[in-house]
Amino acid sequence: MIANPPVELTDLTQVEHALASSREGGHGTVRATTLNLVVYAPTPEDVGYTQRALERIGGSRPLRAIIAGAGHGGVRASVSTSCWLGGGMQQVCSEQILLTARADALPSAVLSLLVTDLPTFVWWQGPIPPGLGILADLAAHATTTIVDSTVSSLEGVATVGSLDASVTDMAWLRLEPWREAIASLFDPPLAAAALATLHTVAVQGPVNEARLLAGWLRSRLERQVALKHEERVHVERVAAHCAEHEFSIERRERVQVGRAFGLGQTEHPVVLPLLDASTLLGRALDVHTGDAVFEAALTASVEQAA
Amino acid sequence: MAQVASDPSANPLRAGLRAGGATVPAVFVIFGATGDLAHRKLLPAIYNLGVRGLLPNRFAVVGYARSEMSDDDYREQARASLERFSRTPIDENYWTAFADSLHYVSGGFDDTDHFRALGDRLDRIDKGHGTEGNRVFYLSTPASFFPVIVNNMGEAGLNNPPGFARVVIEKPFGHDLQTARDLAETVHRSFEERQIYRIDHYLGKETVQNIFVFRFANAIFEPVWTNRYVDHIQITVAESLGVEHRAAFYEETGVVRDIVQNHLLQVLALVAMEPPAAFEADAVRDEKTKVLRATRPLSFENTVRGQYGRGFVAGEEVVAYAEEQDVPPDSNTPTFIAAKLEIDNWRWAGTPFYIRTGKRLPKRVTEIAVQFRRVPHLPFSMGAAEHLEANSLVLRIQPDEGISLRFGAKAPSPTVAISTVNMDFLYGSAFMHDVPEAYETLILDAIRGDRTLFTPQDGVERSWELCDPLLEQWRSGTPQVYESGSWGPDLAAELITRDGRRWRRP
Repeated sequence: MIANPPVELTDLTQVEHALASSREGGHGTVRATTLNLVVYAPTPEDVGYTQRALERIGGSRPLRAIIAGAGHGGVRASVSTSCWLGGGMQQVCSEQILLTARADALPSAVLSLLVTDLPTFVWWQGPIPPGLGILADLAAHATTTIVDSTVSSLEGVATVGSLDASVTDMAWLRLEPWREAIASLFDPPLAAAALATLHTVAVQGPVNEARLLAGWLRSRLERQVALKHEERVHVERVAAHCAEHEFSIERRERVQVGRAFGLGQTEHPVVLPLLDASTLLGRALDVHTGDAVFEAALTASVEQAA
Repeated sequence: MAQVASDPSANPLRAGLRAGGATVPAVFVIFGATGDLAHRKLLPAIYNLGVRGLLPNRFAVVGYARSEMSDDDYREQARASLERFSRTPIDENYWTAFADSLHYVSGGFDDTDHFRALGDRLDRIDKGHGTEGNRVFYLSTPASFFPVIVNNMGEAGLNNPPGFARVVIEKPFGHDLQTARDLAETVHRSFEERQIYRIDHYLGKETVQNIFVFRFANAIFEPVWTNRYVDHIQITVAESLGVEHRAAFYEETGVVRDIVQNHLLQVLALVAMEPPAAFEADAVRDEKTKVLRATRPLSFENTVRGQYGRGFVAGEEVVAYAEEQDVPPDSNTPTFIAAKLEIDNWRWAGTPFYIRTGKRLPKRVTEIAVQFRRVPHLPFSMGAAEHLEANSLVLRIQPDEGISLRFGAKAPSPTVAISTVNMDFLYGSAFMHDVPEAYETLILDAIRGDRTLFTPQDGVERSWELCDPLLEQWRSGTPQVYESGSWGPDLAAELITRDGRRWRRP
């Protein structure tokens, strides 16, 4: 990675010029930018976490990241570019703007810095605030809001879902290999027949991910499915109980391969990758439209709790 | 009794899942499992599909070859191949599961009993891996073995397992029209056309598939993609390498069979075809075949053949083709062709396609250059526009995949002066994703049963119909020798300049 040193600015109208100067001298170059990413990072730890995730995404998605935090006094921006060498010595470059402004001025400052007419993602890392607050203001300019119901709440995520932007839940993306493995267990004809009798799902894992899985099953099968939950840091085991049969998937230790077993099939390996923040963020940035299956699962999860 | 197969499409839990992966369980059988292609390409491709979670959860690989070997020996060989040739490092956690899915069966290609033994082993593997009798057979052997293998597969009933059976065949699909038909007849005795996947790895390249997207996902290009606005199109497939260690093969093949009959005509079809109704096998293949049917066969008058002589390529002195090891000094095998092709349909009548391909050219490059007509009237003085070139749009397939648009712009000056400028888009500057190998794409498609990127028999036959007359005429005469490191024989330049045009310098 080639990182150009940051330039400190207090006038946002100078940001574009500073970024252009940073790109190969800024004259006559054609840049490729595919999206805006707005991150609300209120603490230095949040900023560091974001920057590490962006660095690991590398050059896979050339983007403009606006890492915004509320502060006192006037607006301040620190702009920089980072480039990665691709095949044929081509550079993939991303721009980063570290922005500080008063909370009430922050949304307008962000708006002025978005690259025109590109998809805009708002990545909200922490718990979702009651009443949404600044999250709602930032999401108003976004096509997609990225949240994580594992560190927030499913009810909070449902509230974000009421905004205009579509919602991507990192927890939902984290569960995708598990959902794939569960679905795969019910492909064989004998198992497909048993699916009609699925009544309980037992999940060892974070509670909100367990609730989402149960909500997913309820919404897809259009009937009640009870949840038995044991708290774990990561999802480690899922068992679906259908009449007298159990279909199970288990990840032994913290490796990316588990075993699956169910009616009509022998025990077989399944790929269950442990996805880190940058991988999840990368996947979230590939989702440009609402996910009806997720929305139904979320609704079913929240309704069941209520 | 045939068992009832899995039907993932009926599974309500599958909604929204695995847009890109395979879900139906299967066994992947490699004939010629100890060969170069299997070790360099097939096993790494299968491994990388697996580690990305794109293979079915119930899946197994069976290697079949003459060498005596145990499953464990084969796994060791596979591991060594992955260490050398996989584009991603081996993930030890995944390797254990992958190794469990690898099996080996020793047998000859000409003994039906060996094929029956293979069938028995596949049945046992079905029970162990839950693969439901679904088979994808990959013929990773020299083409001369294809007939005996497919015959024995039919004799042993491998073409009719409890689940589906698909057979993947590598090019060349025959040596000419007649041998292509003979091969098809042989294969059709054991397999129906819908079960046959003719692989041309060129079509699995991301960059080649991008031609589809570029043409049919952007509204601004397709309206001008016609003889009304396009003066002519140039397709260049240039290699800087010589014949290397493939002299014996190349002596039998030559440039037309090696590149034109398959890769180049496929690229031409992608560039010239009408929009398909959907990006689906039958729709895409029909449109490609239709445009090849409208294409006039290669003719002696509109082609130039060449053979590389001595010269310098990228600063290195290289020998002539006739001096290469295993090449007869009096060889007449062409290593270069330039040709003018015409397509007789509404879209392209009057707009020629110039193609050129060869070995030992100045650099390795594949590109499609769409040369537009000049504006009907220039409202500027001659002096202002004397350096103005016609617009061109270049799709670069390799290297540095991208798109260039050439247009005129006002040069800074108190008067009107127009300069030609290029606007370049480099694919790699927008997407630095881990690009899958062509074999990954095509193997996954074969497992999923998607034949869009595979060549149908009528397409193969039409390609031979376009090439056969020229190959017959070229049986006599000699190719013009061109200096290695040049863009081919002088006559190649004349082929296009006689039409008032000139070759691009890629």
